[in-house]
Amino acid sequence: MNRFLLASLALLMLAAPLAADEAFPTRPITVWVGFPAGGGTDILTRALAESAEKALGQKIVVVNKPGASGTVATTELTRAKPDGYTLVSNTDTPITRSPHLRDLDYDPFRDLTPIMLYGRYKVTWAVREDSPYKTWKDVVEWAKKNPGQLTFGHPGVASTPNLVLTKIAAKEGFTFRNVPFAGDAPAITALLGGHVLMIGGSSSSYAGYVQAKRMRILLVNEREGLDYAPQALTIEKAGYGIESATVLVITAPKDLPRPIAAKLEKAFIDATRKEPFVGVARKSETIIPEPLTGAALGDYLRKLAASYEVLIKEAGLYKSEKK
Amino acid sequence: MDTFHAIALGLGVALQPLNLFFCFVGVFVGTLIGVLPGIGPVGTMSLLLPITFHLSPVGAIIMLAGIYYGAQYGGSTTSILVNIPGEASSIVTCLDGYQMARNGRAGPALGMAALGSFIGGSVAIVGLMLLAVPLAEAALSFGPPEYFALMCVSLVVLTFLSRGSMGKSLMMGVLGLLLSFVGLDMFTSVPRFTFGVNELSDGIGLIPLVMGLFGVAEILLNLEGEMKREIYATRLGEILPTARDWVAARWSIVRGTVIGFFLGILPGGGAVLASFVSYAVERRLSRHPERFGTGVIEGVAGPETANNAAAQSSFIPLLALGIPPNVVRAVLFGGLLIHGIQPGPLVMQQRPDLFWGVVMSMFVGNAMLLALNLPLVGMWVRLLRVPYDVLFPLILLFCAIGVYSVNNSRTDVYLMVLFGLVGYLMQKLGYEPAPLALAYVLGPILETALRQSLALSGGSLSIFVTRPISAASMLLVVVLLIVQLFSRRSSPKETT
Repeated sequence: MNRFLLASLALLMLAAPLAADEAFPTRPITVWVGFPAGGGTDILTRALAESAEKALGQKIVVVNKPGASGTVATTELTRAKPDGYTLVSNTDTPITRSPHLRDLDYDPFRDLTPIMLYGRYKVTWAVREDSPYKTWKDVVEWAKKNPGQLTFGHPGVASTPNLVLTKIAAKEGFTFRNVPFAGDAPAITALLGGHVLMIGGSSSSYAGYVQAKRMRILLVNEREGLDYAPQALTIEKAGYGIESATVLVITAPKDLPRPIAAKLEKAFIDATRKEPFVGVARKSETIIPEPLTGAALGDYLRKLAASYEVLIKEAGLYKSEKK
Repeated sequence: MDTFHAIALGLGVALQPLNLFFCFVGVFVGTLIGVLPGIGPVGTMSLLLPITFHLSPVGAIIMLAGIYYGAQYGGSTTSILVNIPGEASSIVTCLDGYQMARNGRAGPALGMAALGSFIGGSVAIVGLMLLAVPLAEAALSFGPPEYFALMCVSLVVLTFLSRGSMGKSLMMGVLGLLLSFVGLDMFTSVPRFTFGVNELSDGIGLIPLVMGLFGVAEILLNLEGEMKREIYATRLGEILPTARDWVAARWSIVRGTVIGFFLGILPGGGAVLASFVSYAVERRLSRHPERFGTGVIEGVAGPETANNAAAQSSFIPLLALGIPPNVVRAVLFGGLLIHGIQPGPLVMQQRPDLFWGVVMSMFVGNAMLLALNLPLVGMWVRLLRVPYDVLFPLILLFCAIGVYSVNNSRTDVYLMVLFGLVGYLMQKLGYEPAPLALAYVLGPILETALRQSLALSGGSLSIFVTRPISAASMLLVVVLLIVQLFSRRSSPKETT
């Protein structure tokens, strides 16, 4: 009985690739999220999955495989079959940053097929509403006059807000005290309690506090600025010219057949224009960028990885520098 | 809006038939997953999150909240019956609850856990209604140095937990701290003690550790010999706590409520801390501390009251400030976001129906839980009559499913088996798992707070004594250590 089952399974596996490209998808698709349930990436993935189901005509099952900034899910993806039924939704971190921080079991540009970039978080820097620093310039001036006195809270050492501030500090010529927290929420608590002077993190976590007049955003790494905090300076206007972003990406294992990749790309592009994804993205302060897929996405991620490599090295976090 | 109008508004929302239904579904599911070892509220709530896409925001939050505090009721059941904590906050309940069950008093233990939870929960909700805003603001004054000092107090209190040799429980505490160092270093992102296993980058999961040390180890121990199961089966009729139990436990319940309420408000503190601080306090104040660990009702009543009071009061930072103090509340936070409600300090003003509706639904939910759980006590006790060769494989199966379902990770299942073997050896050699598990919970908070404090102060240790709250806590540590030393010396035969 067992042997018969095995034999038929083996036959199925042999037969599958022939028919798969045309008929894909014929069964539910599983999307692993590399972050815990209830977080920003999880919520956006679930909304995207619901929006994409109609176009694909199959259920999309979202499963959380959190761990090590998304690299647990990405590592497992590289061991999955490239048949389009197993995908990962993650931030760019496992592709553009983690490989510079420590040795991993995969090469992000050899072992993966990038499918689509579907969102971008707005990264912001903020102080308390009653802080004496009204603008970004105020903070920089004060930090220059008081070397090493600026206490800065952020959601992790390799996070965009920390890496970018490290670069800015080097350009402007000030030093600061680096205090990592386990995510945006504890950093916000520390800012509101007056334990740190400034924090950096995602706009979606901060918006409520800005509207409640508890927090003021001074700097944002977007070209457009923020509707709810118009006084905030954009990183471009400040003239820093730092290439940094936190983006959301769907990936598949390497050697995914092109017809299947094309079907997935089309379905996900379609989904980014539909509810509930559009609504959830707006409410969570996430930008839906122009669709970026295939080779163009690969090039974009390479560029991002290269600029993060520089930022990580400058922050003294590069893997070979650590003894 | 004054409090009276607010309560009326909240009751109006909570008593709508549809919301009553969601509340019932929440607490019912919560009780079930609390009883099933390993399947925790976090996993369940996140699985149900997509379903709430289609509900009203108030109904969704009422249901998700119900799952959370419902699990606190159910979590004690497995602690008492089979020595497997259903939730981390029920670890302490194993100490005396399981012993009570072995003495044939599972019914009163379960009954006391349910009633204590009800009292603690209800009083905490009243506190939440009256004091939410000022308390949430006060909790903000706890920064990294204050947390470090608080953790020092907790670790000293931990030594009061030990039933056997002081030296052995200190060793277990240190081992727990060491295990908590596994994972990526928060300040440099260097992997520590991961041996190249990427799954260990976030450290060893608490669930596999607890399930292994308590559950799997207990099953292995029971396999060894003839179990005295006739002891369990006796005196089934005695389900509810007796008058003597009440007299013994009344002050434990009062103290448990107060401890739970205040520790629950602190972001990151929560139910686990409250439950074991309450146990340690009860043991310290008891006239017969040597009997703790052999099945005394105070050892169940105090912690069970405290963890439920904390479960309710930990909603204060979320609802009043919009800060999710732990993972469960982070899932709730996500639930709010899905419904287009920006969690934050404005929720109370902008959506009073949501705030007061959810708070009042907690009253309703607690009453439902009591009605649901007291009749179930008899059923749970009867569960012990199931032959062990059926019960144990089933428990193992549920443990494995539960552990896997947290992160959908096979590594976690292997870890559970490993810690099962470690726990078995520990028990054989007379080492207790509770100090290890609790030190493991506190370790990361301790380390993070210490390093954050030193980052804030630029490396100066004076930060711990120049801030009033941490200075007072540090003084308490010194006093407790002196008291401990003195009392140990004056009664050297205290250890049993």
